[in-house]
Amino acid sequence: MKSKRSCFNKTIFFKNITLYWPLWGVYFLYLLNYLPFRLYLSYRSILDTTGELSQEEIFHVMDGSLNVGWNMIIVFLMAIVSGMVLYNYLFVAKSANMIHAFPVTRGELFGTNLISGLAFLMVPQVAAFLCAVLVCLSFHVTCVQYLGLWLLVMLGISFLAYSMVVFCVMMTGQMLALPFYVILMNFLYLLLRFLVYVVVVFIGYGFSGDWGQERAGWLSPMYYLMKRVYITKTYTTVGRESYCSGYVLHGGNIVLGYAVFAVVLLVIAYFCYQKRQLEQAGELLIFWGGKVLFRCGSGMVCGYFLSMLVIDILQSYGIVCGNAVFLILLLVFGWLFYLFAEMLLEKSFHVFGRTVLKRSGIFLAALLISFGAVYLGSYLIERKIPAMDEIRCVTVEQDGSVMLREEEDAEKIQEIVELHKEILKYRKEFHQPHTDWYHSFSVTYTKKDGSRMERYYELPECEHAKSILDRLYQMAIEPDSFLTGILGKGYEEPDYFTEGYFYDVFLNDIQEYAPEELDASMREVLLQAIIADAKDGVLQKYNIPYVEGDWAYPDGQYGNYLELEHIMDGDGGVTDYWEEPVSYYISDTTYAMTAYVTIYFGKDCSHILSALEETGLIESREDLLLETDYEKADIYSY
Amino acid sequence: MIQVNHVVKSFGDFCALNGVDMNVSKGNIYGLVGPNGAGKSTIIRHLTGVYRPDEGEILVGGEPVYENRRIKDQIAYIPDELFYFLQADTLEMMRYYKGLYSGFDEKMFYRMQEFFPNIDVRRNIRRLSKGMQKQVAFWLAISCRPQVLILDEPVDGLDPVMRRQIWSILVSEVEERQMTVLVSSHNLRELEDVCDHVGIMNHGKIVIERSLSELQGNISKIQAACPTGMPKLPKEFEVLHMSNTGRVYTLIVKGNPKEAAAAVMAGGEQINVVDILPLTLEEIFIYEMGGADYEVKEILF
Repeated sequence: MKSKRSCFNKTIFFKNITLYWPLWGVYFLYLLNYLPFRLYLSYRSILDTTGELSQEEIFHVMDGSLNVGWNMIIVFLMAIVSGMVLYNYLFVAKSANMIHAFPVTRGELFGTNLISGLAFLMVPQVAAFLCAVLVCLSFHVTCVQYLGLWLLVMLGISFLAYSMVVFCVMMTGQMLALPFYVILMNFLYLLLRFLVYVVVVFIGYGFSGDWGQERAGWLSPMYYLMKRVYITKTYTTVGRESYCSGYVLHGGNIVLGYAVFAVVLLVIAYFCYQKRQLEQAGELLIFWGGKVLFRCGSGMVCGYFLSMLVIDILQSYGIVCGNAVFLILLLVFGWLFYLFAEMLLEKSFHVFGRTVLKRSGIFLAALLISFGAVYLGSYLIERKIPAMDEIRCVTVEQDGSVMLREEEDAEKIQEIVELHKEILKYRKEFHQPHTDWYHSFSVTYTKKDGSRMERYYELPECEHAKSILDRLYQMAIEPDSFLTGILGKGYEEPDYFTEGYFYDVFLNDIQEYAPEELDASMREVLLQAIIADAKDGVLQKYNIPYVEGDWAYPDGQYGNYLELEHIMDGDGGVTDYWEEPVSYYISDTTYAMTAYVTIYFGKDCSHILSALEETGLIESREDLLLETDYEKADIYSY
Repeated sequence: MIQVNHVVKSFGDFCALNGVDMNVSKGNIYGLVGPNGAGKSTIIRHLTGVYRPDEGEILVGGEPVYENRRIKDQIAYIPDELFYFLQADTLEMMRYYKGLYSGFDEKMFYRMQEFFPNIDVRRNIRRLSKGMQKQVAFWLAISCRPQVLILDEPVDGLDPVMRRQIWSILVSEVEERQMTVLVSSHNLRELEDVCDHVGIMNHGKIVIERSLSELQGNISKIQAACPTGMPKLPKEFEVLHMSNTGRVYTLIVKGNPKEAAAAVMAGGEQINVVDILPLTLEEIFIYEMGGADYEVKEILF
């Protein structure tokens, strides 16, 4: 007789392996194709063509076998299907009764099906990895440790995925609900975050799309893993040449953290199984708390979501909706979906009993309180402006372009803060539902602790708004502010710009822009010309034009423009991006960031025009075309 | 062998078992009967360790059965709704049972194949007929050599020959090994032939639990020819049912049959013929349930 504490039964395990072999078999075939076959065919092809395998080619081939994102999706799908088939006896009364009447404990059933599921996922991964190692060694490729990195990540993710599935199995008695719960568990946080954002933006004034860093992003495991866990190349530079010297895993500690989280989920799932009432087979949710959460959660989420959707549709037709309309829609949709959830749980359309109506009343009160809380919260948050001693930098942007950036001048920062306060003072006047023209800009405070606060304002056509915008514009066109804002704070340092282009028109058959590369001396001459024109106050209007009113090119603006590039300092992380007032680009392997600066100019920018002639980029000013001429010529840009 | 002490079980607001007490001695064949919805399947699921009681205790061999692998190893169960794994054939299921039950007798399994000649052991069980699936369930269960065999509607769907075969194997196992059998069935005529004890369930309770002979000895059908009207009985005899065809009155009476007949005779001078007829289990069940507001009072007459 086996130990009483045994959590494994070899008969059940053997039955699982033999009965569901097509499942792990298909996964194994996929992995064989993904790892060893792919490596073999690629290395074979290179050898047949070139006769030898260079290190660059070895890594290039291996690149395709170290993907985490796509394989993670496959792992989650496999985990869901494995959970559905291995625990399917819990979803049908007759199988639940029969299996639990056998001389096995729930602990054994839980443990054996857990191990079976993990084996379905992990054994094919390990086997495919071993085959891949053999393939690599047969080609004298010895850097197989990177495949090992991939395997470790996959094993960790598989453990998390299957643990989540098992946890969801223990929450439901309905097999078809299982995938839904797993997806919900993975994306609930993002859904709620999005919903809160949409509602707060509608109710409050000044909220932008950016909520700062995602501190609780880990609550959406699949999304978080896809974003944070990857294997990238590392480069070694010898002289002026850089070459790939290996791979590095990013987010290994995240996988480890999730593995611990998975253990917690399994412990909870185990205790849930011990408490599970088998007669609840077939029910959507089997725990009382879960049912309450499902009813209220469905009501609230669907209520808020549909209310916002309807308001969005109405506003697209020019029908302006206020908070009162939103509240009415929220209560109606919320209640309807509360009842719908009740119908799903009870598997009946006849749910209009006294108890349900009483519960509905409590739910509607809770919905009302939630609306009040969101309203009050957004009101309090929208009035918040960082204290002067907390602010390191303020950036004002308009249509994605930097209008003003102050970092060192405390007086100017103070002035922007005062303007911000003034906007809040006229909140009632400015925050009217509108469908006509408005000015919009965003203010971003970067605090000394590295955190950020961003606000986005839409100002209607009125006296107070005009006064605020005029003052902002005056600050923005001041030469030093303008140059720092548009070029970045280090523009005066030598070799700050690493590359540059002059976009000339090239009226060939396909009528496209043709960039001409600028060498270092050209860049220097043009940079000085840009500074000179900015100090003359003639360059600003071409680069921050929209503040003056409706969209239009300033008179005399050329369609030709300059583009300068510089490399950002630091590790290329998110902080750098937010601190830099320029658009950014992440190169594919190193995550070093390149900032692009675009300079538009016009007829009165004499220094730039002279510099273009001096550097030979144009022979005369007649070579340039006005923006309006470009439009007439219908020239494509890229 | 099986002891159920005041077991209560509710499903939401519905009370399925309302204080069930039951006692099955070793080597007995215990028939559990009762109307639909009485709680028979629910108590069986408790006895097999599937459900956990809200209150009370269920002991098999003196030990609680719930989550007790050692005890469950001695219990074989044939449910009313059979379950087999997808694509499994009889041999695969046999290997599964063999792996789970320590007492599974593979030789006996093959010996018993002669009793089930129509079953192709390599054919997917789910493709066999309902009756054949039942035969496989019985075959596997008996091969486990259990101390306790629990059967929920065991012969439902079987042809008469196979029914007799199954009962015959079961009775011989009881005689040979002192196996305890608890069988729930609506086929009372068959239970009557094999059971030595009977428990009648109604509204989530065992209302009567006696040996069959005791049960039959305590209730009788008395026919009397009485030209002056309905014969009268003293109050100590409970009349469960009375009907008449002309002058012939039929009474179903609780109590000693001979004493009841004597009391009928003593009730009037003109009563000239009194017959005592034995009651079948089915009749006992119907009259007992009739007393408990069961709505089939007039089925037999």
